[in-house]
This record gives sequence, C-alpha cells and structure tokens, in this order.
Amino acid sequence: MRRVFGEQSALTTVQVPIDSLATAEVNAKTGQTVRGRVSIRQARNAKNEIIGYGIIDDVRGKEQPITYITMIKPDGSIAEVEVLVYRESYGGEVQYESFRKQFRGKRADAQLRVGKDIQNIAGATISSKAITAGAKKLVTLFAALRREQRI
Amino acid sequence: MSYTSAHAQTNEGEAKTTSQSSTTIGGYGEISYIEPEGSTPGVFDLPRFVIFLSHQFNDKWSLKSETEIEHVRVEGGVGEIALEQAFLDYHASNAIGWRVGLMLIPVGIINLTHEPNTYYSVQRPFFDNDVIPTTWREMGTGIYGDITEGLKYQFYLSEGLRGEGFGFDEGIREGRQEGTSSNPIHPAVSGRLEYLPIAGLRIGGSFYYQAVTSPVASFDAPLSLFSLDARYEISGLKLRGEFASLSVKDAAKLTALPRQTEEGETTLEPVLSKATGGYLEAGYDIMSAINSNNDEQLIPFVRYETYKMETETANSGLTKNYITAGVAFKPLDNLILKVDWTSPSFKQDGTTEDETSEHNGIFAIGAGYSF
Repeated sequence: MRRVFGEQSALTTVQVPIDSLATAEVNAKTGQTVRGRVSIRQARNAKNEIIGYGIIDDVRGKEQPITYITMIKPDGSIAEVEVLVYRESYGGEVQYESFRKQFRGKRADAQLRVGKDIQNIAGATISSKAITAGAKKLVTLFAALRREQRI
Repeated sequence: MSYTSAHAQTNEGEAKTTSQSSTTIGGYGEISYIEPEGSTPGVFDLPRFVIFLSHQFNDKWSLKSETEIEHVRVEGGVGEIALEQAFLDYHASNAIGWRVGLMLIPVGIINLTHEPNTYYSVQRPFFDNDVIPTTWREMGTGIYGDITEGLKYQFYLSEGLRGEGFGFDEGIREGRQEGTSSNPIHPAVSGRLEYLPIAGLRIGGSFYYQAVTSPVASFDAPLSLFSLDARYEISGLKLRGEFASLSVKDAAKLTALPRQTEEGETTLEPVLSKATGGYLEAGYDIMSAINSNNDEQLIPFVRYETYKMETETANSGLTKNYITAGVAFKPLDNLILKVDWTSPSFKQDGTTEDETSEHNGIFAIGAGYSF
C-alpha cells in the first residue's frame, strides 16, 4: 500500500462489521455474498489524514484461490488492484499491469463487465473475470460501508 | 471448480497467504451430432468426457491431472480411457517453475487450451488434427515462467514421436506415445514464447525438434515443427489464427520401415514429409453490442483453414481447405451450444480439378461445458 499511497504513510488496520444492509447492497449490485467483518487497512499521511484504504480478499480462479488487494482512495475510486498470491500454473497474467490498470479510477457505480468495460486477457478469461468480480465486490462494499459512515 | 478453502464466498479481509493445501475437482465435456457428408444420417456422440483432479500441496507444489473418456465407453476397439495430463509443478516464482510428468507439448492454441467453451466450432480445427496432432502430450520435464511482465516461456525435454507410427492421412499423429510405457530413446525438445503487449492480445511462437524418430533406422530422421499463433479480443470482436510448418526429414526412408497400423496390419502408407498451413478465425459477440449485464454471449464466427500435406514423391501434395461458419451461444461462461457447417475442398498436386465432388459439407451441432 505504501507503494501506491506513499512510502511515508502510516498503516493501521480497522475491523469493520458487515451489517445486513451492506450485505444486501453488495448482493443486489454484484450478486456476490459478503458477511462477517472486513479488515480495512488505512494509509495515513504526516498530518494523520487518511489518504487510502486497502482490502485483501480471495477470489476463486480456475482451480485455486487468488489472493488480491483492492486499494481505494478516500473519494471511493479504485487506486489500484494487485494480486498478492497467485497459485495456478495458468492465467497468472492477471498480475500484469496492462490488465490491472483498467481498474484505476473506477467507482462503485461504474460498470465492470469483462469484455465490455474491462478487457479480459486473451486466453485467460477465467482469472480475468475472477479479479474483476472481486474488485467490483470490494469497491461496492466499501461504498456501502462508507454511506453508513462505518468507515 | 470448487475448492476446499472455506473463504470462497466470504470477505473476511485477511490474506490467506498461509500454505494451505486444497484439492480441486473439475472437468469438461462435449456432446455432438455430426453429419460428415452433410445430408446422410450422422453420428450422435459424446466424444470427450474429462475429469480434472488437482491438488495444491502448498503455494509452491501442485499436481494437475486430466483423465479422459473418449466416445463414452471402451469396447471393441472404440473409445478410450486415458490420462491426458498428470504432472507436478514446483512454482518457485513467477520467473521460473519446474514441471515433470505427462504434459502437453507447448505448441499452438488448441493443443494447450481445448475446453470446448474456449472455441466456437463443434469440432476442433482440422488443422489441429492433421498438422498439430492435438491433444499432443508426452512424458517430460522442463521449466516455465515469465521472462518479464508480458513475456512467458515454456521449455521442455520430453519423449519423442515414434516414426513407425507416421503416415500420410494422419501425419505424425499416430507417432505419439502419450506416456504409455513410452520409449525415451528418441527424446525431443520443445518450447514456446508468448507475448502479451496489451490485455486483449496474446501472440505465441512454438517449436518442437526431435533428432531421431526410429531406433531401427540406420539414419537420422530429424523432425521439426514451428508454429505461430495469435489471439486478439476487443469489445466483442474475437480473432485468432494458428500457423505451423512441419518437416519430417528422410520421410521416404521411414516409409520403407516395417510399420503396423493400430489394428496390427502392415502398412505401406507413405510417410508425410511436409505439412504447412494454418487458419484464421473471426467471431463477434453480438451481446457485447447490447447493453446487457449478464454473461450471455452469442457469437457468429467464420474460419478459413488451408494446409498442404506432402510426401517426398513428386506431385504428392494434397492441399486441404475448409471454410467453417457457424454460431456459438454461451448462456454462461462455462457452457456453450454450437452449430456450424463446414465446406471442405481438396486439391491434389498435378491435377486441375478439385476433389470435392464427394463432399457435400459437414454439418455439426454440439454442446460443451467446463467447470
């Protein structure tokens, strides 16, 4: 996160419970399920202002889970999506910047359809869709929790 | 695919970066009805039913396997049950991994990616049967990884093809040992580079080389194959092409070897010395033009294949052309329904007329899935 939000930024983590309202909103907008609580990493600048957030999650690739982080700016737009652990032999191209840069600036209200809004990697459609669905889920969850002033 | 990790649909916010093991089951299959002569009653079949079983021992070590049942059951020389892939991977880093076992020869598009929902025709391209002997797999070992972001490599040492199995109609296809107590006395090297300059474009180049194809021959018979392929996808448009050039040196001497067909009969079929050609395919997802939110895709496509197979004898060259046009519908990513029609035309060197009179075209309907 420091690479994206600045090497000097201080990182803290808060645990935010996901209430039924947020669960319902994420489900309605993305068709995906979130529950329990979410760990949100916060990056702060020298003035102690929050300059970015990060949420780490797993999505299912073709066979194995892909661990990724979605970093979000205070305005709710995606700063960066990065793959932290990729476990499969094929489809690792979702780690390439040429794919990931497509998410930058996207907000919860943006359409993130693979092949339309996000160009999939030719020959690696499954992992392209997995990461896209994951980023959509997290940016939507973030917006829902934000609206409830939980973040 | 389902995996045993409990975190599939939850968002608990913590990285699952620990070395957890998991076992995955999946598969793919095809159902098809094909009228090879266009108008006559055709064949209703389930050509492939494949089960994936893979296991991730930790973040580095994994096993992948595919077991295939061809044509529903094995009886009376029809059908086959075979391991199509079974290999161990040690994924040291993105830069290098090590692989050993029964694995795919890294040539072309279809040989490496052949789940039926990844291509639009009912049958695989004819080129991927006659020139590249799909599914081409052998026992071997080698390395794979990313040289840099967007540039991938695979490099393998494997058992090679048996020259005694070569012919003309099927090319080098029946030379595959496919890992059955295979004889590693004529090893082969193969490799592939893939370049992905942007998300929607993947360009591949492959080679295969084998110095000796028969232990009984008192001559060297090098076999080499080079291929180029590309896939490009942008806003609904789906383009792909494969090209390959295969050369079997001393094919005439291989022809003179005592050879038997799969049925055990002695064959005098001449051995292919060269095969060159490829195909281009274009499809367009109509649904991409409609502002819909679901995964449905409706893809009309057309493919033109042309390749020439020849022996060392003069005027032996046979040029095969196929035009395939059809529509594929994907209600979901992992399901596909297909219908297409293929018009073949063959031309023998030294003749002026097309040998197409007996071909009315090939009509095919199919369904496929993978999970």
